[in-house]
Amino acid sequence: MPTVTRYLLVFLAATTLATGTIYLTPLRWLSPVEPKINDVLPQLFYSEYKKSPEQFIFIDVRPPEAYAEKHAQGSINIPLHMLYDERRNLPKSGKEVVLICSLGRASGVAYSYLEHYGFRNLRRISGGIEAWEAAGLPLESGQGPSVE
Amino acid sequence: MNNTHPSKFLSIGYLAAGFLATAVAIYLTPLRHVNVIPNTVNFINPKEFYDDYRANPNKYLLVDIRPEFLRYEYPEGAMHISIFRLSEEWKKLPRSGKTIVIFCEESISESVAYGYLQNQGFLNIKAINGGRAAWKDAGLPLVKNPNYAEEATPFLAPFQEGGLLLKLL
Repeated sequence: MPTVTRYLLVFLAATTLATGTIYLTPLRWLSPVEPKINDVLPQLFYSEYKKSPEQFIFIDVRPPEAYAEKHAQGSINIPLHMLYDERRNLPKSGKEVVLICSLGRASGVAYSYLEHYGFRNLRRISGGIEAWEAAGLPLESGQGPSVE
Repeated sequence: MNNTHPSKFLSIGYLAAGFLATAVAIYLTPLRHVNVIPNTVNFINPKEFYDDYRANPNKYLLVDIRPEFLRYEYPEGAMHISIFRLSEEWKKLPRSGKTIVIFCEESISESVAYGYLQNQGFLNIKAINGGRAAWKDAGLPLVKNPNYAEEATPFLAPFQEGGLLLKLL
């Protein structure tokens, strides 16, 4: 066998070995780099959302009481813990999942949780509902089209 | 004979390079989020956990992730980080040395917190199977939260034990 082919085979074997070792053992949970969150300014998102709302699933992850009091226009309510069930109904492609909450804390948890389950089409409203309101964007109140 | 040594050395080099290149490609790109095996939650039975926790309290860090309004009672020694604030406070948790055990009302929020921490790279996590409900069913002790009535339900405080209205009656 020519030497080059032999080294290529060794390299390929190593690649397969590494892929197997990482994906099939707890090594897959290692996170050498802190996961990044894809933030978007409320104004920027709203201008995109107004043009084509059907491209987005806009989710408020706060508790139902907080959502009923005041929420961003167009957002639906899936409280943080409900994502456990609802993640199965959310699309991983085609539409973008945009998360909002209060100050971006809970949506940070929601973001990483969904990322953990393989979602790549995620964005978070930076600053949450407070920033949304401060930017003068439309708000609504009431239960709205929430998910039970 | 002399020729085999450098070739063996080179093979090991290629093996290491292949391994390293793959690891870098997986960990530093979105490939990290490909789930070849479905994610699972590592649950622990409350009784089993409690017995081991009492024997070796330093082995575990029990974390109550319920929001304040649900915390009228909690297991003694539990640290409190509400799930809504986990994205700010997860850095307080140890990555090694102790097992982080997540405690909540039922197992639903636990699973969300578990997935969140696992995505942040924690390998030392478990969750109480069934949460507080199962904990109580197993007859395990909970302590009353002394701040609960005043902070979370101010309107109920006068009617509760030691409250103003009951004293007047």
